[in-house]
Amino acid sequence: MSYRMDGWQEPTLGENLARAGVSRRDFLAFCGALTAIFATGAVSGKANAAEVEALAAELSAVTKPNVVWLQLQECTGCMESVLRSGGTTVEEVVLNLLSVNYNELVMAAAGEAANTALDETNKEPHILVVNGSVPRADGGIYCTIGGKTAETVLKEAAEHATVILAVGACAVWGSVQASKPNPTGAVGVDQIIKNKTVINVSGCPPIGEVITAAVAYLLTHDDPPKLDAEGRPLFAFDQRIHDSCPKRPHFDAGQYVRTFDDEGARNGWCLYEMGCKGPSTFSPCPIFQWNLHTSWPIGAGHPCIGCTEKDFYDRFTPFYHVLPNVEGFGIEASAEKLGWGLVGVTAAGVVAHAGVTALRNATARKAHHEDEPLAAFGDAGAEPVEVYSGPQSKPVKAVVAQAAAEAAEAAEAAEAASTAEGPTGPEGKE
Amino acid sequence: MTTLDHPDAIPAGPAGEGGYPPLTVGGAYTIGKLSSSQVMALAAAAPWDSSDPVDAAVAKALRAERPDIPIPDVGPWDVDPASPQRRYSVARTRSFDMGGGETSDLVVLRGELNAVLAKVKTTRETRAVLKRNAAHNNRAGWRPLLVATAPVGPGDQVGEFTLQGFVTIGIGARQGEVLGGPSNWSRVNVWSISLRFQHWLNVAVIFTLSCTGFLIMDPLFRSSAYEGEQTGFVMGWIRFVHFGAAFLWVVIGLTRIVSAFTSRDPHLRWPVFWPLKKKQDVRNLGQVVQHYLFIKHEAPLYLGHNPLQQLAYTGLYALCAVQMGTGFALFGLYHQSNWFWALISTPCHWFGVPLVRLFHSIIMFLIWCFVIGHVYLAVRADSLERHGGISSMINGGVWLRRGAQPVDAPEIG
Repeated sequence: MSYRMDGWQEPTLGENLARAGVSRRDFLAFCGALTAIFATGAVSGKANAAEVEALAAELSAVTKPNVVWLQLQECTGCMESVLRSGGTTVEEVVLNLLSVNYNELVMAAAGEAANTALDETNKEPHILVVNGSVPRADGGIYCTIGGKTAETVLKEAAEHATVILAVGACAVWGSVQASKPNPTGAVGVDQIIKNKTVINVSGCPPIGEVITAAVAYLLTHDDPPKLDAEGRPLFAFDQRIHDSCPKRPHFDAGQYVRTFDDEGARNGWCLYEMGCKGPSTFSPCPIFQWNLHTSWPIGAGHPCIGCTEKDFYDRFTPFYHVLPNVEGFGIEASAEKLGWGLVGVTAAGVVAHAGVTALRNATARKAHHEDEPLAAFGDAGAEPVEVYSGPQSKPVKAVVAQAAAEAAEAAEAAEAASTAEGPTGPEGKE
Repeated sequence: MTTLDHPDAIPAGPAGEGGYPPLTVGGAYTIGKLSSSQVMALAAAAPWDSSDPVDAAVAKALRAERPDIPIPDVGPWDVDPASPQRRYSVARTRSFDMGGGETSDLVVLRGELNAVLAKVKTTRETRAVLKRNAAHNNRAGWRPLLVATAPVGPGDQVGEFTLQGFVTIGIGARQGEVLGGPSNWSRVNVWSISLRFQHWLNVAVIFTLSCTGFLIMDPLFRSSAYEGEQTGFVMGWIRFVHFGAAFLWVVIGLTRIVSAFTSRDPHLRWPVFWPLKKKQDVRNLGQVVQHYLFIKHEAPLYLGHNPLQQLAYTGLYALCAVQMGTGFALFGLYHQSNWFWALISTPCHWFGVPLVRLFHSIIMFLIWCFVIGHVYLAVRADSLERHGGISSMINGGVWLRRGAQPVDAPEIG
């Protein structure tokens, strides 16, 4: 299927699409897909017919919107993701029709003419779409367009923007260039534009359909879509890849790829043990896939690296391990190694402590015997006992006699006390 | 028979004079048919003329504890003292009261453990029990003086020697350290049934969560899948059990929080979580630490938890709370359109999911470390102090010496 692409010639989007050769059937199919995306949480692809009709009516009635599509510090991969999708799609036609005022990659104008187009659109209310991050280090010299830093270009374009769409990991948080050590000081759009809602269409690159869906949503709805904590539209980012992954049954069955060339890999089993970040990554990749549903990373046997998540280069690496490594010991250790190390050290500590306890007990016992040898135990070195030593030394007798004397004394004292109490004494005693 | 008013009784200098170390008798242990007092009486069997400090000490102890039991009479020629070559003494006593109105002439062996054991016929079990008890007394600084007897028949025929038990001899004044017999101990109920129930439920749940959690982190069950065998829903079940146990764990945690505020038992209420309320508590904490580092022999006595122990448990509570928090933050990811789970999963947006998983794994290992230390210290304390700390988590009661003065409870009666 190929469409004629000759720009915005008719008053409404619907008429322009018809002119480009998009049939009513294809357009409705496109709207049906969009409705399915917008229906948060519903991924069946079967949208309510009435909703589809309503969206189609609204979208086709859209008059030419002003769109500024900036491309800052980036690789143009996001745009490639849309343009090189494997054939001309309705999505592409829609995007081409919209992104006409200013876009570095696809616009026909150049030089002074392009800058003038940008300045004029900036003065009017417009939709601002941003690809690429904003480098702020060293006065922003790492990315300049027409003599202005990326930050200035972005701020000027954002001033009268009705809505701001940050498309791609670079625009969302800075992506690769913002990862440690971030030499250019790259940041995402929402770290510069704080007074307006920035809708983050995340991914490196995002799926073309999701970009189109986000733009179409803004064209057909008055309010911005519901966003998650990272500013991503929930209609596309409410589920993890893991939740609708076609390999999920292998995960649940415990069938994992252990190396890229093993039997499991050939069988197309789950890539969890290869460090797949699907369980940590919110994206509709398993549903839309890429390049007209041709394939997608996991489908091609490669684990997800989590490119729709913030700081994935720093937080999701090493890509081929289940858990991130633990830094700070001079070396990087895996969490499991560190954990077993902790357990080992504790066990060794316990053994050592128990050893010292035992040693202490043993020495205490020994010392006891050596310090005070007793004849009754036959200890060597004990003073010999004179069993029949005569009347001078008779301890047993002495003890008994002393105890008897003490007892007699106590009895006497008790008697004296009772007599001192007077006539009531004896009665009280009873 | 010797009585208090023995005709030869003459007042003399107190025992312990003449260079003998002052000796204390801890108690008597019986292993045969005799009572412990009778064992003590046998240990006191010595001629009136004996100058042995042990004889004197045992006689004194018998007098003090059981004045009604006479010191067995031993004729001056009926005794052969111990020597380094034969480490027990032999004495003959006549008409010893065996109980039940029965009297018997006996030869009494008294002396060092192994030397006496070599002379008697006993079962291995009896030997083991005796040795274990003797070793325990030894550890606490008491020397066991073993006592064995043999009946003397007509014509001075000496029968087989029977083990009767031992008395413990301590050197120096050892008041307050007496391990003594069961009568020296008092049982105090400390741990409520709810706490004990929570403790063992926690053990079961943490064990389950650790096993399943480890397998989620690192699925070890690998060979079967390669053989083309059916693996069913193995990871599914592991995760199901993990989540089920996690919900149960949270319920246990909540009941502990509720009981901290509603219980009338001071050992359960929230103020116990922070043990350092006074300067003295901090000093006691230091002493406990020094005790465990073998710097100090004595540590302050607590009925409940000592400050170090309580800090460890409070720390564990905090660790478990973080573990539940990170666990449910990860669990909640499955339903981000729901405001509740989105809220619970908020930490995942601060740190990123992999880092939360990392915390969750590391805390599991930290809990394992705690378990190792906890089990070791519980067994160690129960073995050395004999307070029944381990069984107290089952039956609720600990044993304290009568007269002991715990920091956190009135004197034990």
